[in-house]
Amino acid sequence: MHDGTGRIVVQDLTKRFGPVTAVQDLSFTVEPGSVTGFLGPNGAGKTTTLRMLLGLVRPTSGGTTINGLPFERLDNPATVVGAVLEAQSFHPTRSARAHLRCFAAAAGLPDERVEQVLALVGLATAANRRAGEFSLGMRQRLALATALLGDPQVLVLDEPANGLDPEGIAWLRTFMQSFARSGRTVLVSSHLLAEVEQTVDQVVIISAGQTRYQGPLENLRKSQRSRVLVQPADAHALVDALREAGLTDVETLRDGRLAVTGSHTKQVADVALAAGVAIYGMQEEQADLERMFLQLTSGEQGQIGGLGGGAA
Amino acid sequence: MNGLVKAEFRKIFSTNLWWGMLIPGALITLAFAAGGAWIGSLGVDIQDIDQQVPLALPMFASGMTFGTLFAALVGVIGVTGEYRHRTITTTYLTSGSRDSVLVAKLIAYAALGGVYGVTSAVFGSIGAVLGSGGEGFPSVVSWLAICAVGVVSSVLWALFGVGLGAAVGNQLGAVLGLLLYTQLVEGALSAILRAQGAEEVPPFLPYTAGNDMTMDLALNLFFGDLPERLADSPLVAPLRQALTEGAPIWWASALIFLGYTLLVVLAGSTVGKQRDIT
Repeated sequence: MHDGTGRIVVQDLTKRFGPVTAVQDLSFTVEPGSVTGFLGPNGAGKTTTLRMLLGLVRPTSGGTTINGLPFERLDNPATVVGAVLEAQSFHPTRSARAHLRCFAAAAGLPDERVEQVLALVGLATAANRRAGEFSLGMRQRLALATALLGDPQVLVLDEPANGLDPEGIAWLRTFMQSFARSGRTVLVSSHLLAEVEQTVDQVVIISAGQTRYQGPLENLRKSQRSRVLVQPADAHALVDALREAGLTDVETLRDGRLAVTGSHTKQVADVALAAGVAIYGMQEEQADLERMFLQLTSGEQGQIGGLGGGAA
Repeated sequence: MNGLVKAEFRKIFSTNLWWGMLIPGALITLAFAAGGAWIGSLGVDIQDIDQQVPLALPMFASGMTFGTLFAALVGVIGVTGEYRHRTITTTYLTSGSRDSVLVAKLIAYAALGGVYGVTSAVFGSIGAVLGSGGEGFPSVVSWLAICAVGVVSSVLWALFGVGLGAAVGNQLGAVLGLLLYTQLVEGALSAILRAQGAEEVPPFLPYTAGNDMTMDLALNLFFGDLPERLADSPLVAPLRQALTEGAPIWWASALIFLGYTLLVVLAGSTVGKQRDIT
């Protein structure tokens, strides 16, 4: 029997498709009670990782567990984990209700559950329509209804916002948060940080099949430090003055300006005035989360610690 | 397991495929049996024969045999449809193991194959009554024997289709492969083998074995049911020998085909477990 923790563990996971390495030595843990964003650019190996987690793709090496067991050893998996995957689909001439009734039967669930999930995702009135006539947004809702049939403890969603209208995205966001707040696990993938920034508490960022960052989104946010770009008359004198004021993280940019990290314009201006160095221009630069994400996933930056002095 | 079988039945009956494949098989059997009965009834007017020839029986059997192709097709299309429409992802996500999905499909499609066989038998019987004008219906015992074997053969072909579909995965490839092999390749192969003097091999090929289980029984019953005067005639005796000597006895053909069915099912299980669902 599984341990009922709702924890997802990915351990040293590697998958090669012929000569192509899709995922390499990937390890991360997803804890229950929070929404975890699984982020990385397109082609980073997110979908392959999720499919290995769900027993659909066989890993070349390494393994994954949900509730302490690999997927294929879960008893009645639909009651443990529900998934909305990208390449998941429906028979075009089968109605939404018939589709759900097929899989309710497979999971040994009563037919009333079908009506419940239809109502939950707002498809009750479209239940007898063929899935082939559905819009992309309705298909996503039907996929979610299918995932929720077994009232699972763990929800895995692969790029769920694709095809959803803004209203649908807002609805999904609220849904995922309340799902996680009830002590359950949500793992949601996206290639856009901005898309899930409002929703997720934890992030796992991967690129080229490897983990780049894992931890609370808040820590990532805190690690971003603004810098002040200043153009002084005498750079040397200002650097010395700044050092005396305790600001040692100073860098000379290619255009001759100084980049002072961990400070703000007012402090730098005061130091310059006291040192008698004229200032020709000054601006504060905010490193935003999206740029940090790009740096993390571009492959140039391997470590979170290297973020402070990145290229301007 | 019960749930998975129920799920497969729901999948089958929530799309149009099952009756779309059922109708042609039934109508072909009806037409064959009716035609055979009608030609057989012509004997009454011929002086030398002067009675009904139970030709409806072998014609009915060949109609049912041809109809089994549709039982195989419904298995192949049903299983590969899950790959084509990507519902296989959800199917695997809601089941314990891939083999249990395959077993559930085998059970459901065996039942469907039985329905196909029974429907063909009923339509064929109606055809025989229509064709013969209600008189001179062949021996009821022989008729029921053909019905029974025809139903078994339909079940086996449906299982064969499920195994083939699971092994190949690609719908177009599996359907084309089945049609080309049964309707073209095996016939050519048999002709080559016979020309090379290896005429004992063709009855062991899958399509021939699958057909022979019904056809060999039908031909033996047909010649057995013929009035002595006809059976011993210089026209019929050599024909009987040519048609029935080459093939193994019907139940041996059935066992050979069962062997092939088990082989493709095993292949479907092995390949299915290795397949990455991307």
